[in-house]
Amino acid sequence: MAGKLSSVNSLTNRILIFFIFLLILISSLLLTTTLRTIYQHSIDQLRGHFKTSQKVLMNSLENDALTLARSVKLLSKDFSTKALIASGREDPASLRAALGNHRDRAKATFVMVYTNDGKPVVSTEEYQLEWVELESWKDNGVRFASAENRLFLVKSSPVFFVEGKADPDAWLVMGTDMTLLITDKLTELTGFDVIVSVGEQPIITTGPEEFLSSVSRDTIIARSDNESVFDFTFEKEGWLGYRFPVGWDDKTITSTFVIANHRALLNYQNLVAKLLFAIALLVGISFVFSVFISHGITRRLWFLVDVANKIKRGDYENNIPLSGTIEVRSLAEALESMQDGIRKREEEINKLAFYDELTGLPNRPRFIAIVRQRILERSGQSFTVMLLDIDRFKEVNDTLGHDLGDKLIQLIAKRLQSLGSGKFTHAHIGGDEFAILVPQEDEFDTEIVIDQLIALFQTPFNLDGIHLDVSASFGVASYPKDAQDTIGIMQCADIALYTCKGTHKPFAYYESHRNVHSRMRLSLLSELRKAILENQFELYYQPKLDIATGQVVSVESLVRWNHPEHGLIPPDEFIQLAEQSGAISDLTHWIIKVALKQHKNWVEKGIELSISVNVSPIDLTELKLHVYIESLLSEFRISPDMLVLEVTENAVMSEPEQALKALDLLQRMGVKLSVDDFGTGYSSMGQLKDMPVSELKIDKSFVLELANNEDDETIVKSTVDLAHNLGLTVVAEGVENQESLDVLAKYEVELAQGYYISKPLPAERFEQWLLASKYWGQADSHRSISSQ
Amino acid sequence: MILYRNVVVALFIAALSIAMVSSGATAGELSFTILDRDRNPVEGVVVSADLIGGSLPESNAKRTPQKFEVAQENKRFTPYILPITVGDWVDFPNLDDIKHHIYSFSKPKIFEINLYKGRPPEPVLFDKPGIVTIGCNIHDYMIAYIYVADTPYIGKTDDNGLVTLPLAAGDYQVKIWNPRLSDEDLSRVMDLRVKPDMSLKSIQLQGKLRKDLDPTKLADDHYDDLGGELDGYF
Repeated sequence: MAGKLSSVNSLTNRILIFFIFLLILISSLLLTTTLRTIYQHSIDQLRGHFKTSQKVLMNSLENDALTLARSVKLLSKDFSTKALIASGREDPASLRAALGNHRDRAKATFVMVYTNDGKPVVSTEEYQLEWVELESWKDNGVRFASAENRLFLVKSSPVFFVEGKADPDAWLVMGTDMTLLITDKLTELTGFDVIVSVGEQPIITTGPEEFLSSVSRDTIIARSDNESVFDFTFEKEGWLGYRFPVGWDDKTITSTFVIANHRALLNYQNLVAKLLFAIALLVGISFVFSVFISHGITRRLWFLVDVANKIKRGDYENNIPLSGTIEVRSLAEALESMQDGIRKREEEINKLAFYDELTGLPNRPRFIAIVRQRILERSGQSFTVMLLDIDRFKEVNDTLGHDLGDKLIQLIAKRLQSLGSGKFTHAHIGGDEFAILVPQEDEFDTEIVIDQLIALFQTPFNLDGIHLDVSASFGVASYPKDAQDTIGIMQCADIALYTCKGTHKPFAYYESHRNVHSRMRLSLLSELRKAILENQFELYYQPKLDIATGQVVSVESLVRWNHPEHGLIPPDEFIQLAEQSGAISDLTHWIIKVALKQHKNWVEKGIELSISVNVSPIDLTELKLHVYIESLLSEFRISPDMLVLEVTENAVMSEPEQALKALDLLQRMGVKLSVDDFGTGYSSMGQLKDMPVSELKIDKSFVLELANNEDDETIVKSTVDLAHNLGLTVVAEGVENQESLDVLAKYEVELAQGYYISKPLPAERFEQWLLASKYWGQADSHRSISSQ
Repeated sequence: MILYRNVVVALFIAALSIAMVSSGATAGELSFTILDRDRNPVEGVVVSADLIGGSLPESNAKRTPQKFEVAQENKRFTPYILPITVGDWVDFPNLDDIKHHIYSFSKPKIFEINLYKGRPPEPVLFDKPGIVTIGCNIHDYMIAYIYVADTPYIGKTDDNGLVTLPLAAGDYQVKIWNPRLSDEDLSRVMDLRVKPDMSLKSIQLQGKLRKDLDPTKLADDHYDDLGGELDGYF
């Protein structure tokens, strides 16, 4: 899960990333707009505060001005003041003293007296303002005046010695230094420090003296008619300023409120902090929620993934819980229906894959799986595997048809199933092969089971009214005695069956030495072609004796494999392999070529023997053999009738048309054909009649005991009669004694072959044997065979 | 208004003819009439005449100082304008039942009569020529002017704008004064040769009359507190 989560591709992470991205986006937008709005609001609020403060300041200033005006007006009406002014020229000291007193009462800074035409009379201070400056606004109320680098709020008032006079007799001017008016009280009221400037020159401040030298309008952020908001840096801090005129008509006198940003925007900063906190909280909560939600979704998805994995392993969940969102639920439903579908199809496939359709029994893979499982689960318990092969099932199929063949298989299967009271495992592992797993328990003694099996085949099988006797061969292997693994035990049973087929016995136990052979077989199979190329084969020659003349007239060439490791290998052990592997054609070609070469060699030495070669039924089906033989015959300039091709009677059984056609071609070339091993196969007389052969070889199994076995004699006699009636010469194989030879002579068998005459010999030794033997060269000194 | 003025003029002419008839050829009297630029008679204008060259008649040279009164009545000075000759005395009786505190800071006569009721102990001697403005320290709007002339030929016009001075034939310098007169008129010194058969001299003002500040003619409420006057100060 951790590994899955770390991937960007996981749904959880995608959802999380998407959520976080969305959150950041929304928060940023929210924050930006809100901050901007709040900032603007704060600035507006600040400006509002500035404006209110401006009113406060102006109000304060107006009050001061009013007080000043009242003070000077009252003073101008004061009788004793008038009296002192009237005598001001004569007694200025008295006037100054009196005015000083009034100045203090009015909390003003100075009082000055001028004549009506503007000549200064007296001042309470050491300085006196220029009348010129005052004259222009002498009737216009309170104004500002600067002198001595100070700024005064000034009011003048005419003095009428007698009120009601048309013209004033003198002028009183009273002024208050602005430093007395711009006080900390204003700062308390407004919350701002105040700076008062004349023109661009700041001259009064409630704040630190440094304001006077360092505050300028750095950046004006907003401006209305007369007021302006600006910011500036003071002592490395951001400050805001608000400047506005205070001089009523005189715009050059301005006042400025200043405040440090962090104090001005205190609310703003508080709000920002709160907002950030709120957003952080929101992000946190949303994060937790999205984790929760995405996990909620993915948890169900992971659950379904687990279900899917279980389905993969074949571990079906019976009830997939249908919960969660619609999408997840539909996915679960889809999974469930998929699982049902898979389960059903799997059952069918299982049946097809592991059960034989015909019999309903397990097939080979299934049987092997059962064996494997048994070994895995109960390795201590021994058991027996029996392989069963129906004898001559092919014949049944060919003669009765495949439908009845199938029916026979079904009947056999049914009979087999009656064995073992349900504790055996029966399987139909091939066309006519069955397998039985017999648990080795006391009640299932192997021999008894075999007897029972054999007994199963005692009764004929009823195929649609046809009663058929069927025999079978059994190969028996035991676990763990013979092999300890599945393949091994199956191989052992297979070998046992193979052995059984060769012995005409109904059953065979596995014997370990067979296995060696069988292993050799496998390796030989792979070595065959290589062996042909490397000339590991050698031809041995066995003479055929003309019984009538006692002379060797023909020779059969027999192939031997001079294996570099295994030594001499007889044909029984590799011909079948060659046929199975397809190497037989090459081998046959090699044999014919070597045989003909040898024949030529002998002819050149004066030894004229016809030479016979064994040909596999597979060679016949290729229809190329005659071309090859023809080219060899012409190459060695050999007469075709010197070559005899021996084929088994089975040669025409698998593909009769093709085989007969091939034989016919060869026969018409002039090559002689011989039926080998006659009597062992199942060829019918009809087929024999059709075959264009000129010779018939009676199988050695009838000849070996010929002298002592009347049955064999009868068979030989009737076979010879049959052959002769068909115009065939007869060759008897397996002649091992004189008695047999005598019997053969009696029945006029033409040729005899066997150890009694000679075993097969390599070419050179054959030659030596022949030349030294009594069977060669004395045509004139011919002796009767019977006499020997 | 025009009709009214015509009536006034008609009356004036009628009166004039009566006066001429009545004074007849009596030597030493001359009437002045002061007219504004619209030829309307102006009241309260002080007219003074100085004899040039000749000496004053005996009777006038050795004239006995006269005694005048400027009363305070209904918190007003009465008369508003008083023409006198140097050496004359003026008494300031207080006819109200409240105290007044009259004073003058004018150069020709600086004086003060502190908070009193009834008739002050003694009259005030005006011994220098010039205009003395009298005020009351308790009532700012109370004002009176005393015109102190160097000549006995002094008077002020009545409500018909007429004043008669006992001028014998001879050369005179005539001046006029009133707080309403413009500086132009105030600075006029008119040469006048009086002939025996002359009885009326009309003087038309050259400047515009100023606003009449005579408190006796103004409503009381005009002098309410001075707070209202500050409204226009900003």
